[in-house]
Amino acid sequence: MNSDLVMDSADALAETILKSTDDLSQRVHAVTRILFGRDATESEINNVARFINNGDTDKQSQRWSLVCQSLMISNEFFWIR
Amino acid sequence: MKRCQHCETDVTSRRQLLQSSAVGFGYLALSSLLGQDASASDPTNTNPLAPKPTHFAPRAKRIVFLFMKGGPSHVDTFDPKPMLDRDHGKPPPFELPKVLFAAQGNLLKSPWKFKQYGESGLPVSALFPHVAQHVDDLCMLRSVHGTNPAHGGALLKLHTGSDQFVRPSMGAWVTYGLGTENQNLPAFVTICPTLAHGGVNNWGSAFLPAHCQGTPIGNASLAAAAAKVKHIRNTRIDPDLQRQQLDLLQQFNQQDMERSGRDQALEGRLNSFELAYRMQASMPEVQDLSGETAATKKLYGIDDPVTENFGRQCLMARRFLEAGVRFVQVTHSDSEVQWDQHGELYQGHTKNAAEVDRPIAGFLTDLKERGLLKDTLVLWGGEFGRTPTSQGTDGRDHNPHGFTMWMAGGGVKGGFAYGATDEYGYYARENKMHINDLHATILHILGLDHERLTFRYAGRDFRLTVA
Repeated sequence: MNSDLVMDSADALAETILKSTDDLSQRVHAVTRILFGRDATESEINNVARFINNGDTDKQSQRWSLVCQSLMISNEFFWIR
Repeated sequence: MKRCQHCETDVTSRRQLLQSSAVGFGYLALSSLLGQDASASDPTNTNPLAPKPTHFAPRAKRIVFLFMKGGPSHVDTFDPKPMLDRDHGKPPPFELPKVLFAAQGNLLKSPWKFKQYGESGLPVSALFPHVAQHVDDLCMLRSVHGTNPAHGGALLKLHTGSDQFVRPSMGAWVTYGLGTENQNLPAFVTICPTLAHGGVNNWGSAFLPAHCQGTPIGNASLAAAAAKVKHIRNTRIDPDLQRQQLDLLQQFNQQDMERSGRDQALEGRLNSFELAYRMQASMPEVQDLSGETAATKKLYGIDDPVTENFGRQCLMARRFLEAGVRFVQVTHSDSEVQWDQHGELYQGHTKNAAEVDRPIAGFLTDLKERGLLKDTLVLWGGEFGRTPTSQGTDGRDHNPHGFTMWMAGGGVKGGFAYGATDEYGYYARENKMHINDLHATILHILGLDHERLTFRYAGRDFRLTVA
């Protein structure tokens, strides 16, 4: 969870996502497509929106990095189905 | 199955395919392989580490294992052999085992004198004058046997009950059976373990749920002062933000589990993140020795460079035990041979005993003064003993056929010696205690019946004392 490798990778993924579109839903879809090979569900978009909007607007890129980190250590990414 | 990065619809997963296909037997096999045990399928049990009831009243609530890596010689420490002294230099008048680690020479007497101590009069050699002061609390197990002639097999057999297969460690079984009192720390901690001779398998959980595995603090090649849990702190974000992040992660994991079905491995991972989060607060505090008094540090020998390293480990162990950790292992090992004196027995054992004697005695005193000893089981020993016959001119070879371990604390008869080896100290002879018996005894003291503490895996019930 706290290792530099994971956090740096998450930063890089977040940067790519943030550059590709400004729309929050599209950003969430982009992350789940890259990591899980599927679109995000509505509930997942809402969860991410809540997390992103919970912080200051100038800290949002950090929050997006944390979103990427969370999904990279999630069970769905971790285990091949 | 190719990952579709631009599709609008889901790609079918293999699990979905098996579930929905007419020939769904693959999925059935998968479910049984995942081995659902009673607690995992109990919908009301959300925390697998919660304390569990014992089979009967326990005599100890926690255990600490002081592991002397390399095999300390019993005939030079706790099992005196007058006939070995008398017949020094003669060829052994008994048959040697068929499988030997190396060629053996004639009988080699102990370079150390034994003295009787305490009210019990138990004998201890000059190697352990400080531990000797505690004999009336110690139960000498002089007839232990059955590990393996080589270190790898011996460590695995001692730690996991098997030298042939990958099996859960003692600590994992204890965690599985008892859970833990402190939900902010792992149930099983191993301090400065050796990475050799079985490595992670010696504190692993094998097929038991993942939360049963030991958490290593440092390793044998690192100084104890540097031993910390890796990545324990997140240097980039504060705990509050981290909590929010963890909540998001768990939301994803929960929904994923709802889609793919309840699964022990998936849940194990959910729980391990929660534990990791809680550990960030509690672990640094437990590992921090700066709050201990100078008197305590002196008791453990932390004021002396010879005993400082092992002393630190023992003091950390006391703190973990106090904090509610169920199984703590302390390993005396370095990146060299430690107790494995195939040669230079005198120099090697002198050095090794000097490093641990005062800390162990201090540890026992400290446990007693804090009222912990009466419900803590203390176990001391190595993976085997050593031969009364010589190796080369001044060494002893491995001896798994008869050696000594000692216990102290809860449920243990102090000032007592159980079992005996033959006149020369080669083979266990009276009241033999096979390593399986030792494991059964440990579980018994902790309130667990070794035949009832089982886990269903690969179609049958496994236990620590497996045949």
